[in-house]
Amino acid sequence: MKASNILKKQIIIEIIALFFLIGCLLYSYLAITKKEQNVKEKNGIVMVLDDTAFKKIEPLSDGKGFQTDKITYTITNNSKEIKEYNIIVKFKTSDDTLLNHIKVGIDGLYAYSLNDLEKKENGYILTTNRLEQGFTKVHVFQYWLDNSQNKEISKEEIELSYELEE
Amino acid sequence: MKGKKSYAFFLLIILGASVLLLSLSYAKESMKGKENKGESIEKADLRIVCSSTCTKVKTNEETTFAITNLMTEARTLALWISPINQEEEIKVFLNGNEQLNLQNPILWEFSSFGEVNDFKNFTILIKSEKKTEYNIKIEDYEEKNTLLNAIKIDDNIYQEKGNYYYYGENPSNYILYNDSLYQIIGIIEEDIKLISPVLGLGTYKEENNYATLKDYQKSFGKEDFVIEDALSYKSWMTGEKGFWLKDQENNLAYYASKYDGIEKSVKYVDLYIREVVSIKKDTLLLKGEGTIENPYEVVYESE
Repeated sequence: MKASNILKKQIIIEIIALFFLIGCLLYSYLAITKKEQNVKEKNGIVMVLDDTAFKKIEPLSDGKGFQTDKITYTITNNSKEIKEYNIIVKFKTSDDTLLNHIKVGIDGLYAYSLNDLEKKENGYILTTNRLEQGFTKVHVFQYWLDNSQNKEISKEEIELSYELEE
Repeated sequence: MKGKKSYAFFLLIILGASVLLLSLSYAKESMKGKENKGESIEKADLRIVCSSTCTKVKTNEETTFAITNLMTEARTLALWISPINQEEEIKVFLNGNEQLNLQNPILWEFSSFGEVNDFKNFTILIKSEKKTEYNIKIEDYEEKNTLLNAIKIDDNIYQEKGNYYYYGENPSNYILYNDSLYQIIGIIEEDIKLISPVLGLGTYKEENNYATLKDYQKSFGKEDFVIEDALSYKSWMTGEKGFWLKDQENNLAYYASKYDGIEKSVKYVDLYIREVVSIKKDTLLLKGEGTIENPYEVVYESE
């Protein structure tokens, strides 16, 4: 009887451990095989764009604009040299006059009207940076309309695309 | 016994495998590389984002600050840079423009959150030969009613290297001190200096506190002042009667006179005595406009 109780305990513990192992297996499988969306690599620079939070562009003050949905663009320099890069954003919209009223927040530090930014290849240079080997920089972009506008633009109405230029 | 060994063995395998898998997963997740980032703080209904740290600025490195007023009312914010040492040669640039008055804070008006001008950004660059750091403080600006503030905004103030001097023929620099009508020389080396009216005649005494030659020269408000200018230009400090100055040369003491300008004399003659006293720069102002009819009245420390 006594031996049987001990055996039961051992089995229970082994089952719990097995479940724990299965859980670890599942977690590892997901972690290792997870594919990043919007990942690009170019000349040793890895770029990951996450705009899942971005829903719309609406009229806001600059202060409120910096509280709006963030688009993050993570750059990692896996090459063996220092890289200098520009991040260019391109807009595709049915109404180009809207572009005159769009403001962009960059890294929580700068607020520009789109028209203040340098234009390049039908887009706008959001930021120019220098990244040392092995370093990662996360850029945060936010968009809003200036207060002269009284309507919002949904994500579907305005297509944003990003390019990294060295 | 055999059963116990098998049980322990299998448990070890299972736990070992779990640890291995978790380690692999953690390694994969952490393979992001070193990240360089600035600082972001929220305090007192302010959001401050900085390109490096928000409380210190290193010399010769430009730092960007972005401030959002999160309050639903307008406010004035002050940026203080410290410590400012008069002896050190530094230049402070705000958005590329040199700031000449480093004793006063830099002020900005913010509208309420959600309104235009609820956000401002700026860059600071402190140029210095020394490699050091300066403290940065951003807070609500409170205008205290101090004598210092009254002096700084006066029209007849000449500023040089953090010191402020009254100049001209008749500035509004009268102040009540010891029941007498003194006059304010200015804010010099962190204190407010006052000069008395003529107190009497006397020989030059080392222990007396006279106005310095520099104090007197600055009262003319002329850059590149030379001693000969004392007869060509006007100063409020020049009275009908010649009075001793602190400086000496070759055992002769300087004096200031309406008729002689700035001259030297042997010390054993009688000239008029005007005493100089210093009061603290945070002395509170009670009333007055600094005119002879309505002199400043302040709260002295012993009161």
